[in-house]
Amino acid sequence: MAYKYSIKANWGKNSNGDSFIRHEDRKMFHIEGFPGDVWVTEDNVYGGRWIGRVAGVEKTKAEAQAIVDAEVTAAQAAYDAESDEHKAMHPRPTDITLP
Amino acid sequence: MATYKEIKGTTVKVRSSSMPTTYPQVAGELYYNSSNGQYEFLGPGTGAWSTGGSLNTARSDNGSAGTQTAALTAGGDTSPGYRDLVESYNGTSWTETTEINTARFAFGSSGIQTAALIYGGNVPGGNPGATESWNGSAWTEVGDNNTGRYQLTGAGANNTSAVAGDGRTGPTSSMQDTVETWNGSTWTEVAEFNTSRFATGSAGTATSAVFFGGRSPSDHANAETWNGSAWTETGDLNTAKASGGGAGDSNTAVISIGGHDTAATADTESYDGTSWTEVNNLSTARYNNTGSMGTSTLGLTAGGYSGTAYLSSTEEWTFSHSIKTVTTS
Repeated sequence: MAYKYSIKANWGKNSNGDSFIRHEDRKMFHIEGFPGDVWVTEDNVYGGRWIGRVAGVEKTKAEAQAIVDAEVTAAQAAYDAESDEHKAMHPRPTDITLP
Repeated sequence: MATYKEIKGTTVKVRSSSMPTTYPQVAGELYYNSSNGQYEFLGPGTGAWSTGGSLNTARSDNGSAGTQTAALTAGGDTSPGYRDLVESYNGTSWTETTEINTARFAFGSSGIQTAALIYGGNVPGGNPGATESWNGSAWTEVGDNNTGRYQLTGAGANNTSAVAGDGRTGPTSSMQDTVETWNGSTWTEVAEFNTSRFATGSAGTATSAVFFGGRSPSDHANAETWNGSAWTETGDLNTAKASGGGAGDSNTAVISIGGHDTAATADTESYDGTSWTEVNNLSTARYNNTGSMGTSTLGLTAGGYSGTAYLSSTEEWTFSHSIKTVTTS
């Protein structure tokens, strides 16, 4: 499957009840969220329309991966500085490879 | 041309429009749609997640009660803060409401938006068995759990009945198989789990629930059903996981939402009383999304941890049927 990569902050649901990702979207194309507001969508007309609807900013895969890597690295550093109590409750953030 | 009645010996219902496609409809009903002159039937359905209104405060390990359009979430972890914040949801947006008395995270919770119960949890320096009851406007401290614990889970339809179990009192080795039920004023120890664990997912009521997954210390695929008096091993999850959420109103209709296996997962599985089926994933992988509620057809998960950040995002699960038109070819 080919993908498109974009970034956009998830704005949830607006006052009109319109969702950032609609129920219908999920039935029409694959979409997956990653750290750094990175979204990976199926590279088809529906995925492209979704990026346009939410005004997402398209990125190359390498650019998107760099954003995710930076988020993970920061989260790992924050985790390593946490208390033992916190570490007992939470696993260390793992590296993420975009599809 | 022969009529349907002449062929089948019965008539079909006439409707002025297509049938609603969401719960509580059941697939298979055949009817005549007078608005388009077509015979239609309700076909098989699928579920999918859409984005819900964002929480005001991102958090994980939060408590939850209610439905997809009338929900409540309480407390949680935003590291380093243990939160006492409570928010209510109307299907579109979250509004801050009366805070819980004791800030906590990784606790059990159950009930509805106007009658909820929270119990146990990680309460630094405080009472790990503390229970609070919500009546729609205020939180009241009530009888403690017999065994104070955290990373426990529970199920219940209101603030006068609940079943709570699993969890741990300290290190992983302190994981629990003890289960307690709530009658509105006191907790009573009842039949134990078959498998000790913590960070389990759950859904249902005090007399009809499913507890699934969890850790002890490795991740479990194991699931157990509760009938009000005993636990029975049932079909395993397809993927072992812990720290996920659950939604459902009985021990025969539940969804498992997210969780953690080797990392945060977006995995969603549906349970029908016998086995688990992989269904459409969340948009955003998350664990410690204990702020999950609703039913197996109309569910909601609010917050959680993505692996790098505490989440304010929420997702709504809707199961809907397809409308099929009967044709002659």
